[in-house]
Amino acid sequence: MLGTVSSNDVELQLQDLVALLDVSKALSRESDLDKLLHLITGKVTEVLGADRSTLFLYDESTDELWSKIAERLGEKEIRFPIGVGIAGTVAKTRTGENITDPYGDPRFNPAFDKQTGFHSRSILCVPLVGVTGKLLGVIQVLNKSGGGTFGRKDETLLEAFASHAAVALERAKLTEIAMQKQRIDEGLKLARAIQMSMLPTSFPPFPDRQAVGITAAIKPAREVGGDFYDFDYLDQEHLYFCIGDVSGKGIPASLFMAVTKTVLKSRTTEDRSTASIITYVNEALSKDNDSSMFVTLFVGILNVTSGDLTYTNAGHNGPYVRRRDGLVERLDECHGPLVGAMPGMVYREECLSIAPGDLLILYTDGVTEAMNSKGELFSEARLFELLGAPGATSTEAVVHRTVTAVETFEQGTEQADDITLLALQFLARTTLFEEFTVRSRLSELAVVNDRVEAFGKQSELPSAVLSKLKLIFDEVMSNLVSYAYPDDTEHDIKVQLEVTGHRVVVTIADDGVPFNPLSVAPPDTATPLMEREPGGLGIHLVRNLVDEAAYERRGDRNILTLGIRLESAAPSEI
Amino acid sequence: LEISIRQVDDALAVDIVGRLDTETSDHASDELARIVESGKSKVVLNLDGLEYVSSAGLRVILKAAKVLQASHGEMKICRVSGLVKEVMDISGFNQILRIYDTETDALAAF
Repeated sequence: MLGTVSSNDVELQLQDLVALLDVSKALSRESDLDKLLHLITGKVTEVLGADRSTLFLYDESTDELWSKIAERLGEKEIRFPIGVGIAGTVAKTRTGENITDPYGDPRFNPAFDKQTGFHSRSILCVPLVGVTGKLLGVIQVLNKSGGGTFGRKDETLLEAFASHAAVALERAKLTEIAMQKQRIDEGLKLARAIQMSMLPTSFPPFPDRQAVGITAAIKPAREVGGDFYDFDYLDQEHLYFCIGDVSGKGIPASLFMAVTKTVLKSRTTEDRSTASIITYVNEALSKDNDSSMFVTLFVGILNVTSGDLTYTNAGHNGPYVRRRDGLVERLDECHGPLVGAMPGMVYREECLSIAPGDLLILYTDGVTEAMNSKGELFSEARLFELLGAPGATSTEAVVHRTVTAVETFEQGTEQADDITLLALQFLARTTLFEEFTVRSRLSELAVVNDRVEAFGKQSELPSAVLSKLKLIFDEVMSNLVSYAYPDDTEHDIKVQLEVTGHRVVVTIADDGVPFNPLSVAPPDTATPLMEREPGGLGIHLVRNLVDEAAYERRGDRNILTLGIRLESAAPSEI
Repeated sequence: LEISIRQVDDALAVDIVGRLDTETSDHASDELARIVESGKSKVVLNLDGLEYVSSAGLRVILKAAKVLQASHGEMKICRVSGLVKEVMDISGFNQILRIYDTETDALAAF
């Protein structure tokens, strides 16, 4: 049995004191646990003049000692219970042992010697106890060099050494816990960044298109759950949209989500059947899916000319349709299993007629399974009731109202899963959509006139409306050419024409100097024409000829949107 | 855009057919200048065949009217309807030049 010795023990010789100080300094600098363990054993072997030393760490959860470092044995993990062998005994009794004849000691376990060919002649072993009295591990030193046994001085030195090592170890362990926590936090942040970077978050997403209103919202849980949504025009007629929920959480879920969304989107470029799209995506995802992750999906394609919705539900929560008259119905058919779990699945699809004013609400189970402090779920019933309640006629209002309701409901509890909502409202049938780009020179007006003429023929616009469109382009284009480009070079002007409902909507986008034509004060029409500010009259004409006008500076572009109602557009035609 | 002239008694009737806009304004400007500088003092623009007129077109008409006025002549306008009338109303052009329903009315008013 060893006595308790402090580092300033008078028996320590000067050289030992210096060695201990060196070690103590080295230990205080090292906070990486692995490096620290190497450092401790190396120094102990050196200072005590031994053949080998091993530091066994105490694993509280299993009540075992273990070591990764067994010098000259390589990096191999050794584990044994407390109470087994000399080290186990020291750990159990928390008292040092100096064994001069291991093979004569019944507690000695010769298994390691047999395994390695090493012959233990003497063992010095002390416990490492932290400042709070917790057992941290055991240092075991083997074979005093020169064939002797460990003496009183060695005992004292190792005891002193152990108390320093314990402090360093404890600190390293705390650092490691903090770093692990930081790594987890970084993982959470990364998963969220992956998730958010994949989703369209600018609303309204298609300000130039009048057919559909879309609003989405996602509230990721602390540990991201892999929810996603997507939408885009596949061509002028077809609007694709989807919502999905990936199994699992964190980075794996967000990566699987990213892959799913990408494969889905790429398939839509050639495929207009949601059944075929999902069948394909399922094959792609379930092949080589070692992680056995899967995703629930709802995919829809809305024809904005006819109002025909084609959709497939693969294991996802059934979305709701709120008809124009306020009636709410749930699309609760399932057309196949969740996606990515099993190859060879075949999915079906369904068709639904959507009328202008109808609203679709897609959501993930984070909404219906949001929990309040009493452990109750938000539930389908509450969602159904909320969607049927009067008010909230736009997609924006519906999403806002639902998110607020869920937030209020789960107040005081931690959000367990991502909350995701996508609302889509069919506003008006698009009968024709066309876009083209012209250069900013007056000779391009002839091109514009031809395009407008062709567009008018296709959509059977009254000739007076066509003339009005040409007049509008004449004024806007000549204005742009004259004033928008101080650099005097040619620029692109993007033009969109859309017949939707009973309106023609013209959108003109230019990258000229910021200019809101609608903010210009109307000219004094009593002033003789020649004396007026240039440009003012043309804008004045345009503003008065159209039924709706809106301006927006979007990025580096001026966006002018002009609407002409078709019913009242052609008094001269009657 | 096509501009043609007809002699009606001592006046000149000018038919403008097509679109009077940025694209055609130079051509129209030349034609109208020739007409108002021909020495006729009574000019009636018959806009029955005009699809539309833009602000650039209005300037051309106004310029010709002013030249005529300077040489003690007068320009009148007739047969304005639909989009052309709308533009005339919005621009206040109807307050600057006399506009008549028919060519006969316009000629009688000289």
